[in-house]
Amino acid sequence: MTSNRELKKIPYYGVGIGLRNEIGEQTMCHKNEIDTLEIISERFFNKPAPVWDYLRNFADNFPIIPHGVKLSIASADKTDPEFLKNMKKLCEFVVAPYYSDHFALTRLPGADIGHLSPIWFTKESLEIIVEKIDTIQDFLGIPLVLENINSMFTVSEADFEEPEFIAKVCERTGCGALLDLTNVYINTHNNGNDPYDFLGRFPLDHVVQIHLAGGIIRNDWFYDTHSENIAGINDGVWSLLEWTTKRCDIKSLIIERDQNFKDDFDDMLLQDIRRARSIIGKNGSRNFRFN
Amino acid sequence: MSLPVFQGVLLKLYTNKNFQEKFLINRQESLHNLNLSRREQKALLNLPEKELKLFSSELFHKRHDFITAVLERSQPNYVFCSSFYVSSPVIAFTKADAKTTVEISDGAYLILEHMAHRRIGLKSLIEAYLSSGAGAADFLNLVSALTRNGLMGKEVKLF
Repeated sequence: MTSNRELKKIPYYGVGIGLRNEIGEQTMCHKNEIDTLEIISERFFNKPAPVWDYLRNFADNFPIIPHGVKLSIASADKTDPEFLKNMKKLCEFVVAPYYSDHFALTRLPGADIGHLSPIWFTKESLEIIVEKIDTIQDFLGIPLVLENINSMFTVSEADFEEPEFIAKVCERTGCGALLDLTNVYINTHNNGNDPYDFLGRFPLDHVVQIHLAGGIIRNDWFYDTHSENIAGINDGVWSLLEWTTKRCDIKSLIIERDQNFKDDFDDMLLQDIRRARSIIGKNGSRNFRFN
Repeated sequence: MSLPVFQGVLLKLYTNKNFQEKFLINRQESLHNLNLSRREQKALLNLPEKELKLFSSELFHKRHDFITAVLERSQPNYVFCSSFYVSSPVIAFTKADAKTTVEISDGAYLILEHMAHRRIGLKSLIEAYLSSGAGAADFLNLVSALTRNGLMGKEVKLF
């Protein structure tokens, strides 16, 4: 078993947002109200100098956390050495405290679905993932932090349920967990389960970061669209945050917005940032801000 | 160990409409000749139909929107290559100011995967073909499709 000692050393990075091209200017204009930025890692892999200059501009003004979507930790093959080198180059460029991606299957040799799909939670998958995480953490020299995904179904005949599987991975590797509360909220809404039961079985002592976002309901199905404020049908996510922050020493919280961008940045993101910061502060986590 | 085969079937079910339709009509039959353990077969047989369709529909729309946006924004000197679209991999490019997609074989995709960020030419295609493990027919069909659509000299981007 590996302890979470390395995770405890990570400083508090506060409350921030995912950097997206569409809101880059607004993000910079409101830098005093945003503690940290999360970037999509692969957008910077093998890119020319102007793309790195763009990132440098933000890295000079915000702490940056790299967040990948294509690691495919569950793929039954070795992680591409070129991909690992790109991860490390990015981490060094932004002086990342950790690198995050997802508990997901996204590709195999010759097939990349460009989307996160659920892992089969078996002992065989566990061994593959543990070995990969050990390799990645050794190579990067910083913790890997993996996120629970939004999934429309689970693959049956498994050995574990999702929270137990994630707990096993964290215990075996010492890696961190990125707890996406919106994914918990939406998955349990769609499958009729209790989100607090899920959270009660989640490895809270390994949670490093939290994600929040807003989704929509269409044809009786809740979709994780990252297109809405955390209000209305998404409002229950705040109760999950209250519950979680009383039990976790989180290092950052990121609000994700990928579409339905608005001119009113305050309405679109800042109000949710303030509310998240207030809940984290009230519940004993530190309320430190970098800027 | 058949986990790679199992994962391959899952990804194909998510992204290949023809394969998914056959699977949903007769699940046992469509898995018959695959090298899967009984447990893996059972896991696939239990996949929920409604959610599987929803998921692959979401993937298709995401990919379709992405291709459209990329082609609208990009210069016409790129060929975009995706490992899936409706039922097979696809190359996407702008032709006469319109979005064009051409379905290609899995083997042809493997060749183009080795062509990422490279300019399409006979020499680079042969090099990619030799390191891809794809068949000669895939190579010839790919060269034919690229030539027919005037794509020689353009740069390959994967997405």
